[in-house]
Amino acid sequence: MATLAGAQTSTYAGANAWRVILEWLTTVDHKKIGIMYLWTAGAFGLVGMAFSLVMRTELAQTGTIISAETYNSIFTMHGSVMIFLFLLPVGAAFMNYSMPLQIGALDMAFPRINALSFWIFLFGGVLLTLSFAVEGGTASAGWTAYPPVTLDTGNNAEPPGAGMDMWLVGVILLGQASIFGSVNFLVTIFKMRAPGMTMWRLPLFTWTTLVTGLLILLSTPVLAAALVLGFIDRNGAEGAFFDPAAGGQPLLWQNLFWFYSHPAVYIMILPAMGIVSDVFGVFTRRPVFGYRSMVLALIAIGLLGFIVWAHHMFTTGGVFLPFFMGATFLIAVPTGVKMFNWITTMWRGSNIFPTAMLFSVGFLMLFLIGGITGVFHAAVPVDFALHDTYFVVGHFHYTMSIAATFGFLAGCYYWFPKMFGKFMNEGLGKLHFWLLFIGVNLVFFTQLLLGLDGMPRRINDYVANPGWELMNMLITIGAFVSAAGMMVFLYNVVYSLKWGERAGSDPWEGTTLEWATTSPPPAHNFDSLPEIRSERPLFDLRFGERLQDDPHYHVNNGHNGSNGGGAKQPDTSSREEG
Amino acid sequence: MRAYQRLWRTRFGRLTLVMGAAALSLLALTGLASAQVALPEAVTEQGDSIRTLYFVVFAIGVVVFVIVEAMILWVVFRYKRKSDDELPTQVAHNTTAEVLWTGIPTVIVVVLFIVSFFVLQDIQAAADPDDEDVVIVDVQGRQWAWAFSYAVPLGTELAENISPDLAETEIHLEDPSLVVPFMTLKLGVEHMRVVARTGDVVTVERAVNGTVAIRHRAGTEVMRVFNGTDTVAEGRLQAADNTPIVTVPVGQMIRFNIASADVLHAFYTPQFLTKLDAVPGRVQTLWVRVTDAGDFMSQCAEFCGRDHARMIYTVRALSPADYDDWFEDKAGEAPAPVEGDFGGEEEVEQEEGAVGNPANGQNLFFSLGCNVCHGDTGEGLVGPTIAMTIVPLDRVITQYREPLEAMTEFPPDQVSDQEIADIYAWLQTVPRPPEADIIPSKLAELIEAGG
Repeated sequence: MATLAGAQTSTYAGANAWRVILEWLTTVDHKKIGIMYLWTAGAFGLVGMAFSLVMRTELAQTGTIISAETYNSIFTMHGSVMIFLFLLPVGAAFMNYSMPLQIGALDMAFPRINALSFWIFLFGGVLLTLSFAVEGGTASAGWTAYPPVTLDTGNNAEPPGAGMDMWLVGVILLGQASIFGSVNFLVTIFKMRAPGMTMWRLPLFTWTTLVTGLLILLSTPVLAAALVLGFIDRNGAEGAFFDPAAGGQPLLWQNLFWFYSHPAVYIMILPAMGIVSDVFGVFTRRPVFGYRSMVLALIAIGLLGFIVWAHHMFTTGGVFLPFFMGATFLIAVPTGVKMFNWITTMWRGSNIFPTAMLFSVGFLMLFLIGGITGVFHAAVPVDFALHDTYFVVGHFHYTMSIAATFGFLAGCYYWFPKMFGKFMNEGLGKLHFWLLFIGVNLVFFTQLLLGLDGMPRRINDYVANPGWELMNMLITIGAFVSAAGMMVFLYNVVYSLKWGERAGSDPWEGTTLEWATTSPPPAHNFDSLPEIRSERPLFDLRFGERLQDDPHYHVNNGHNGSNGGGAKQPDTSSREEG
Repeated sequence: MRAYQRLWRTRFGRLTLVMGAAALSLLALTGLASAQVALPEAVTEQGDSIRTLYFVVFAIGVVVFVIVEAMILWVVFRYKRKSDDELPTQVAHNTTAEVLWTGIPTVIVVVLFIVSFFVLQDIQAAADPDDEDVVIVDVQGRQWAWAFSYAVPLGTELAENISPDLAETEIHLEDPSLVVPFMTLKLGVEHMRVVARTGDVVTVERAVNGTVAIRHRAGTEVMRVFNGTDTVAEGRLQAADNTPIVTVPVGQMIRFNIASADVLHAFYTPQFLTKLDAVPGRVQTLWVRVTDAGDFMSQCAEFCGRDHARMIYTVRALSPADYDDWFEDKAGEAPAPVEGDFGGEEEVEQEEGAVGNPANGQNLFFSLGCNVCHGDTGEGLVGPTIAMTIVPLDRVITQYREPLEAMTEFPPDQVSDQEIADIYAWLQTVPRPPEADIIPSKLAELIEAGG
């Protein structure tokens, strides 16, 4: 097997740098691919953050520092980079790295397709970035790219240049990478589980990977269709799809775009939810409360996610409002269920608060504000007032950007010891947490207030108005405080890789299978697997005996007797001898 | 209190509390600074309903936030691991609790849905034109300005049905003598521009000003459209020194017909607490009844390209009496009927080969968006009056290439010298407004001074 061959080359002592580089470039190991996703997405995340600092510098005061064209290009690339090149792939990084370990698999179902999906992603990302170098610059119509401002319709005053085409093609490639990845995740979860790992024993992060995979698979082709139509419109058909003057329909783009991009919000937040679920389970020493209702809530969110896309279009005048309002309100119910389950997991728990746990608690607090402000937007008449103002900017950053980022940072602190065999520094971690937590609240809570006062989004300068000037200055300060927090994080990563305290195979007293192997794991993942009788096999191993008489222990651990889909997996015990 | 004391004893706990307090005071400062945790005071009936609904959602949101946040802080500070071998309860579910926290939120969102639904019905309700006088304002968004037009009856009706599919259509009117060259007609919500008249047949360009060609039946009233866009002298933003003003009366139902001539825009007046997108290819309707007189700063809310941030306008609400005066003044007298035919192929052919082609120039004038600043007949709006300009053609070409004052630059690949000559030729055919209405141009002053 390719993975085993890779493992052998890596063990040669004195392998020179070229060999190491070649090994990473040609690897099909899900762990290495996951780590490459993480580094790449992290780097793009820093680029996206730099864009946000440029925007905040421009908006700190009235008047302009950079041209309107530059500002439009920067805010477009901030959104595009953060969504397509940071949040989505960072989720893919953790799903790649941890999911196969959590289900006791050797690797992904299709390791080569997994590698292909990473390289397509990287190529798409580079294409987007290179658009800075072409004449006319990058795409500059927002990450939503609503036509006809993206088209050369004849009456669009400043039709965008080749950068727009590079954006369309780049995002098609990124979508293709996502689709490959999702098929891989789904097949791996359905067919590669270790014996005893039934569906009701999957760790919650693996469940979120499964639902995320389904969302990607069902929604991304629709985005791809929209992007191809957009490309045709710009290069030949002259607007036949989206330009009304040529017989097109601009709202068609919005429907197709949001049919993907609303589920995409869940594609970004669900893996983060999965991470904090696992983190809560470990650091409270309790089973995650309401495991089955968590899974059902997850599935409900996924399903509802497909029938609410038009709530992004309430003010277009082309939407049947009551239906989309009702469906949107309903999403509050399963998300509420998850929130209460997380809190109850900590209730009467034996809780400790390392940085991973702090970020998970931070996730709850930020997601709470994001969820409640979402209800404001769901109420259509209130949305008429708030749509396209800074209120919506604050709302969606609280949920899918910052809450998701907090979940992913929790994942970094949680899985770093598994990935690199070393702890991240806790002191720096706490400093990072507090700087970021204060910074982002200063930014996004103030944006909510600014939006209430009617400041529209996507403007590079604003009317001199005493309230707006002060609030914008506060937001800019908050942005720089957050950036300082991320610099601490960056330093922590470098510091910990070099001088971090050694971590054993199970530094956190983990509950799921990734902690049943060495840190970092060997190329073939496991030498042996413990018996899997619940969603917490390692917890059972550690505390099972002591809890034998606890009437609540194991009550929710699924049906015995079913060995799930693990039948095709080669018996892991035989590998011990090899 | 015990939890608090326990917390204060640890170094990390103290850090948590101090930083938390700092964060909260910063947030409070922000709140105080803005003094605004609510939507602005509404100046319309519909806005009032929206604001009331906002407070309902806000109240529920605050209660939920406080309860859930308190629960989070409680479990975080109350339940700490005391010893390394401590094992907590392994209770993993509780049906009563789970039913409650699924059921209660469901009830809350169902109630919110019902309330929001009725508010939505209320604010979208159209006025019945038989019951009351409705003020109709046609809004046109363009990169990057707004034009507002109104219409008065022309005193004639459409004599034959017309279908929606032709760019230039011949129409039959009961009394075609009332139309004059370049007059904008309105049938339903569609604007048409008069191009020619031959005998009883009037040729019109369909769907102008961003409106959409629709089917019209014989007997439809024909209106005369006039531009009602005022401008303010003092600006709020660079390059927006003259923001367009839309004038409306207090107390009457107003119907805004919102159209776009190019890309998406959104008609957004924060104090109306509502917005509606201007979507090319559609004419959308927004109903409001303004309750307070005053000037209300407004701006485009849907990204529309480079100068999106400068697409500012003002809504000016006047008392009914003041509005009537303003309206009568703006509408003016219907133009005197023109005898005989005008427009048509022959005339265009005669002009061709001379200085420029005025028919082509007229098309260019609108497709380049010159009318946004200079008005539909070059009468002057935000930009100076250019109808029958005294500036010579070569100097006008220089103005396109290296503009004096705030005009957009047009490079030769966008509009050629010949095309400028065409526009120039057309501008020599349109009527120049009376001296009092002329908006002066620095260029024309320079020419007059012999520069």
